Amino acid sequence: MDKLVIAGKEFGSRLFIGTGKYSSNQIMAESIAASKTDMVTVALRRVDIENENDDMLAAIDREKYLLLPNTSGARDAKEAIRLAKLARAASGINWLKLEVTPDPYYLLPDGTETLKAAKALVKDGFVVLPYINADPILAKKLQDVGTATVMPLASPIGSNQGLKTRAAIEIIIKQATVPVVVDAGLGLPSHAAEAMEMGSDAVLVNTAIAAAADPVLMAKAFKQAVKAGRNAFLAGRAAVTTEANASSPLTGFLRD
Amino acid sequence: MNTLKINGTEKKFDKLPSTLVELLDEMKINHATIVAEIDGEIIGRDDFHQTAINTGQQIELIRFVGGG
Repeated sequence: MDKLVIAGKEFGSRLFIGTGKYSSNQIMAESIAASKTDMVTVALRRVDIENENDDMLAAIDREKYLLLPNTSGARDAKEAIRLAKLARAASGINWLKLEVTPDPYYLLPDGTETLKAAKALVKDGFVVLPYINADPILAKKLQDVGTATVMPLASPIGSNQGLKTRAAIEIIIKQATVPVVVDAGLGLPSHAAEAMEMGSDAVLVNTAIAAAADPVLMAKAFKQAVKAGRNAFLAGRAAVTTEANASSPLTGFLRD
Repeated sequence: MNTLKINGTEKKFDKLPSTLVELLDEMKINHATIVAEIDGEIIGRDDFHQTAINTGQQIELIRFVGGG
């Protein structure tokens, strides 16, 4: 069986889902179910003390889905480590999507601070899945300090632009000794399929599903695309040539 | 003065709650789903009932929300 294994844990699905931006907890829960994912990301924020809002965790079946808390909002390693520890205290698990994004416009990750935080968090027993720019050198350094995956971005978070970093992700996949999860910017199932056809081990999708007109149907479409892309990778693509290669026999023509 | 800084906002109390659980109950916050930090130290849910509240503390009350 073709199973994805991260930090010793087996995953039946190669599609991970973000839980942000859904119009309701109900739509979120239905989309998660339709995606057949095994892992969903969540963020940590202050409780709104004036306005007690409902608890989104209640909509997620913790028996069925592994929570992957993120450190979104962290601008440097120190803030990321603080959020990581709070997330562990709140969830009781040590899995973490490490993200350090000091720039508010493009939300691009800070590689130096991410590496610094990753080192400290791995040492502290966290299973670290770092969100990074598609930087093959940084990806190598992160796997060397013991991160469980590397998660290069396809394009800026929530931009739906697709695989703008394809060439760099190809190098990351070639060098990787840990699973490569393409995270951020995948806007369509075809983008996810392309990432999987290249040999990515998994993809993480949020906005493209949550902000679709029909999130539940889009979640299903992503599930199918990830499966198709993975199967295509395993099947091995046929050779690319510049000239035509006839598919029909070149003998037995009805002419003299 | 009975004041606490909760999630960045100064709050005055006529009578300060004696424990974190009392504070959460007074503020009508469901403690089953949150984590707290008092003066930079993380307080796990199991310790809420035995954590004393003192004036001037900086308290962060945090919970999971949807995110990518």
